[in-house]
Amino acid sequence: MNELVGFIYNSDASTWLRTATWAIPLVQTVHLLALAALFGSAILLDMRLAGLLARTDSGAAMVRRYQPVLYVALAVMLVSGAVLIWAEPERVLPKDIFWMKMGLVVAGFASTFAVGAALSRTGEDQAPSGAHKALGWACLALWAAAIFCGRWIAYVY
Amino acid sequence: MTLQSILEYIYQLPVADSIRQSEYGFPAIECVHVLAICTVVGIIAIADLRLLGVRAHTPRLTTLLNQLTPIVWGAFGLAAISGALLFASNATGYAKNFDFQVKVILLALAFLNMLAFHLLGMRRIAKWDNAQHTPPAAKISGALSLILWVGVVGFGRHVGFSLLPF
Repeated sequence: MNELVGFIYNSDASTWLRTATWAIPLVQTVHLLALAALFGSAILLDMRLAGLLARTDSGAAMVRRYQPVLYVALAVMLVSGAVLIWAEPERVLPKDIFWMKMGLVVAGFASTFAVGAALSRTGEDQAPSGAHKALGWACLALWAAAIFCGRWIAYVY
Repeated sequence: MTLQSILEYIYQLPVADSIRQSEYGFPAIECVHVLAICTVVGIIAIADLRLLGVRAHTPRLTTLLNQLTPIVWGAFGLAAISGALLFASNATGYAKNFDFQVKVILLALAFLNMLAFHLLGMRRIAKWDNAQHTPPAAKISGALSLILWVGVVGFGRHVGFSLLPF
């Protein structure tokens, strides 16, 4: 691990990112704005599945409208996140909390995929099943937990 | 009663002191703050994009916006409370910080914009149903909203780089 951190840290790209004083704050801001877009669309899709929002819209219509936003936001987060890892590898790679966050991101992605599939089969005014309610809330909880872990990275040494 | 004495009073409040003393207090409150911000900015951004992009305003969008309103305001309240606690823990420090000052100004403008849309826009929103285009005023409000919130997030994040922790 230390070798990997050292290798990345000593690279030209990493050094440049750290010495250009505006770079890391800017990329973090992009990361945060994409996160807002991701979480906002997750709220819409997950709460639609749980039957708490826009029940008169078909699930398929909601998926068409908001799933692209979520997946684009996720892509922006992965790219900005990769830049942040490259800029400050020592800040994230050695910490368990970072790997926990990445595990939650993978789980969030998987549950988002399941939510999309379930919504595509959900019609207008269809009452949500217990399983759908649980899936909707679980998906949102996973993203919220990922957000907590993400911010907590700064406080683990 | 000067501004400085008010800030010092806030700094010395028992709750502010306990946040400073506790190991996990500040991080935990900050995580709630971030989650609340993601909710507010995320939902507003998606609502704004729909207002800016939608060609025909439908009754279903009206229903959705009405359902989202309590969520956004609830999350804003949570962000305000968590933000107030974070501020109190270092009131004197934050008040002097340029990034924080800009963030607060942009936040006040974003809040006023939210209020204006809620009180003026949402009242009229049913009249837009099935109109060909969203009214220009709503588009301006939506665009302004996005710009202001991007500023709030950007300057807010930069506080962490320009202000050393208590």
